Amino acid sequence: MKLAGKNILLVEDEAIIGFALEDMISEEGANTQLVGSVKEGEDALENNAFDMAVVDVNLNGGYSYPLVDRLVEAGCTVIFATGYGGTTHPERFAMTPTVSKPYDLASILAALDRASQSA
Amino acid sequence: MTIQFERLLGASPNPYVLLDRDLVIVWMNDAYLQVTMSRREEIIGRKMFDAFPSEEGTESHDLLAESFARVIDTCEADEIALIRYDIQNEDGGTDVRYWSATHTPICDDGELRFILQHTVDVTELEELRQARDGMSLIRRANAVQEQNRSLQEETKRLNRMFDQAPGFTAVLHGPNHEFAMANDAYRQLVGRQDLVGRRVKDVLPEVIDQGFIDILDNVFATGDAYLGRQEKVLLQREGGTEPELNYLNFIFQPVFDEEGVVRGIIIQGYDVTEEVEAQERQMLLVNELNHRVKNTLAIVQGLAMQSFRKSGADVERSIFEARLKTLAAAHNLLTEANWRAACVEEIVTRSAEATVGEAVERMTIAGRSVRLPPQSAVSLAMIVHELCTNALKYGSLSNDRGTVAIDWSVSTDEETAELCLNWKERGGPPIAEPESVGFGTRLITRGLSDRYGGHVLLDYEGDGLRYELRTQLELA
Repeated sequence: MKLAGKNILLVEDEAIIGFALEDMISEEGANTQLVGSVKEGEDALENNAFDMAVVDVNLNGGYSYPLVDRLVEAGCTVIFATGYGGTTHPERFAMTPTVSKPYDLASILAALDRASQSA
Repeated sequence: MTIQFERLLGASPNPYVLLDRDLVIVWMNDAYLQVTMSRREEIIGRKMFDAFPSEEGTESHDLLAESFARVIDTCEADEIALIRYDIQNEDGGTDVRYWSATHTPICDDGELRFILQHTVDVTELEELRQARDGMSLIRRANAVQEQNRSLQEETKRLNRMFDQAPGFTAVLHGPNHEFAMANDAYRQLVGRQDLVGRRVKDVLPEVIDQGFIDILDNVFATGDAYLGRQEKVLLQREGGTEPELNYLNFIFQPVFDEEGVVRGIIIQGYDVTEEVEAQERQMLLVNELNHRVKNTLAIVQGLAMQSFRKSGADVERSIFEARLKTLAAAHNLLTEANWRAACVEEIVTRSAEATVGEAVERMTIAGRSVRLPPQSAVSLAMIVHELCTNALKYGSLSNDRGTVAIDWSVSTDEETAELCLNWKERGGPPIAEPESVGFGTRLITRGLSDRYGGHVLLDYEGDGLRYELRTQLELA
């Protein structure tokens, strides 16, 4: 999976983890935008088109699923990231790959690969 | 039937008399004639109160009449522990007599046909007692009997009220705590059926060592109610092998008579075992979580030390360790708050103290009491750490005169509450906007990302750095 030149939305409410993710992905040559809430993510979608998204499942005690629905609608390839073990997603996201924290670049690339193949 | 019953009771040394439901004497045995000093033909076919007159309104009359009425009413046996009922002697005078009587209903197809009175002349016994104790005994005995009556009435009322109530209820009578009643929930709780008329320490011997008899004794002696909250009680249920542990919320409430004397105790309460066990499980989980978080942070610290040991990056390593220390301190704060919420003042103060040491004396930290959820609390601690580090390096804490003022306020409207925190440095050297954005600045300008997106303002003002942080608060 080549990320160079792709627009990638990163959704992560824990700033320090978000920075690490942002650094990781942008070093691959991708254009990244980091947001920390569903609201910020929706604002970002208003102004930009994204090829891919790495989305934290739990955002400040809520779920990110409404944002993911919008992303999928816009034709974006999505993977989930979560700090909780054994997360069960709603049925419509049953096929969406999930990486668990702490993750590294390799596991994110592999998950994005699987997501783009099943899409 | 007649023959059998006459043969059975006729020759008995115990006095028996049989009344129909109009209280007309229809049969008696010889022993009865003997103790009442009467002849069969004088009393047979006559009403009880005609054959043995007593004045209406007197205690003797009323006790007896009430007892008959109860039997007719309930079709259940009734007892009179002690009744004074004087009778005429052969000389035409009146003898003072004391009796103890049992009235047994004889029913046919559920309908009361006869009342069998078994009466015992206890005059001699009573006279002996009186000789010993004087008249006070009678009064006491009467009072106790009265109390028995009223307690029984009370019990019936309570029985009806509480028998189907979800909480457990029992009524104890007397200084030895005899069960006067117990509802279904109580029987189920203690796992025993046969309670009424028996003493607590006999039916529930396992509670003696648990101190509950002492507590009951104290309630009875002092008239002070006892409240148990989530109290541990071990109960050995019938058929069970091991005593079972229950947690109960309950009250031992003394029952007073009209003179304010304690006559019994009402026990009422709820089984809160499940609730307590759930709380204990949660405590266990929180403790495990605390342990794991601290352990993990310690492991990360160890890993960092090992990884950077030979790299010569001592400065970077100490920055990293200071950040990790701040993170650990913030988690300690959450541990103390059971992972619910932490106080803004605590977060700011602890983070500042840990970062700037004694220079904290040049910082003023003030604001109303506000709590932040765990995630925001940790973020704020990290932000304060980075602000402090910057102030020490370039800002107002880099000399020995500069100050930092931190304050915050909360503005609310109908639907939302917003925390606004201000950081203002004064008295430091002139500052300029940094050319490259480091991790610290990145973290500071990110703010506390909340559900609605937080806002920050970073201003490199001439007289010192100004930083403003806004975040939405969860409305309780």
